[in-house]
Amino acid sequence: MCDQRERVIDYLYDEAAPADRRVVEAHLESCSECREEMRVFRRVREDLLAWEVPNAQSVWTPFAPQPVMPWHRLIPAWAMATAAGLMIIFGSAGGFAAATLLSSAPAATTAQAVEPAPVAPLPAPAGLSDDEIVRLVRRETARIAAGTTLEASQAERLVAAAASEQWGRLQEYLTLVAREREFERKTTEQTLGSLRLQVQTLEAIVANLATQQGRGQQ
Amino acid sequence: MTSDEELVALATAGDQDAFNQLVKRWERPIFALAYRTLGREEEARDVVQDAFLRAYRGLKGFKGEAKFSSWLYRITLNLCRDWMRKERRAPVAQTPEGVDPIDLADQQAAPTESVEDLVARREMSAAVQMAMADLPEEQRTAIMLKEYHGLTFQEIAEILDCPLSTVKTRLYQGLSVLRRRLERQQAVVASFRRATYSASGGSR
Repeated sequence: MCDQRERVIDYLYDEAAPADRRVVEAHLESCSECREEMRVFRRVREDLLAWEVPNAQSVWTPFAPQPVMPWHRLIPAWAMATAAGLMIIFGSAGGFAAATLLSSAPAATTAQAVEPAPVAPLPAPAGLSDDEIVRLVRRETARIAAGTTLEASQAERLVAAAASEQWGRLQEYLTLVAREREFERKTTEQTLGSLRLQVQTLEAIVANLATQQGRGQQ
Repeated sequence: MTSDEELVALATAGDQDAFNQLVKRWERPIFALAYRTLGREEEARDVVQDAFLRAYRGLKGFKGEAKFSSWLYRITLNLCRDWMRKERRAPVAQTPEGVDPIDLADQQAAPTESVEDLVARREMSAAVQMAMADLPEEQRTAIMLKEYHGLTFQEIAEILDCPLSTVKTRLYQGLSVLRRRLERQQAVVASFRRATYSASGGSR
């Protein structure tokens, strides 16, 4: 082989620049040794294709898709406890609240609050009278009503207040209900939206309760 | 199709399915490289698994200066080298002795391929494997990356961490040696066939 070895390899593997390509082609025209070498190398390349590789099965165990968390696992514990608390309180005061809403709540508020997120009445925890529940609803919902959404600090305060007042049994019950209850809404956003609506509903109820109580006192 | 770079970025951010896709895309070429380097299927499979595990663990350190595939090739070659050093073994070339006609029938590439053609194909495959196994490692690796993986000289130089001109020299020398060995083997096969033909009274 003459001194064109590198250029010939470039040419053989089709990596020669156009100018170099022309140089090599001109060289091959005049050099029988290189021409023969090029022919033989091409044949070796063809022979190399004969080397087969067995069809091996995949050795890789794909990573499992990331687990889809149940919607309720995505909601912070405090939000669950708060929601459950509101639901149970609302449910326990169901009859009275419904009557109040139907009789005296402003029409627009009632329609907006009740229609999208009806809350099924749940049995009240044993040991709390309806009066006690109404009182708790008023006080705790007022805390939430101070903000427009369920903010963490507010809800944490609510839960902390419940704990400090030794509502242990109530909390336990509410948490249980929250875990057992099957919501049909599948996403966190929808669920939180629902919670906000429930809070609005409760605000309306409490407002009406306060109005009723005020009238009663007068 | 999502590019390797995009999948690497996703995988680095924790998207495991993106890494699964990279494995699916590159498992076959990586297995082929490991198999041709080691000549052993089982060990090649181990190397493939190890290579992808290392790649996964090292994703955060992969800065994208080279192609993902080049990085993977380099990891694979290093693992093969480690394995050969540890086992003190050279690549194995499997000879086509003891050919089972039933086994052959299962391996016919196409229904139209005759058994004679199939035997010739397997003989040629084994001949190339033997010729390659005798090459110095650096020449063999350069030829494999060029011929079977279609890498550019530049990519090979980066993987093997050597100058471009060295890659070309290794290819040239490797092809020259292969040429002589393949010619010799083909001469041996031809004389063997002639001898078999004579022994069978010219009936084959």
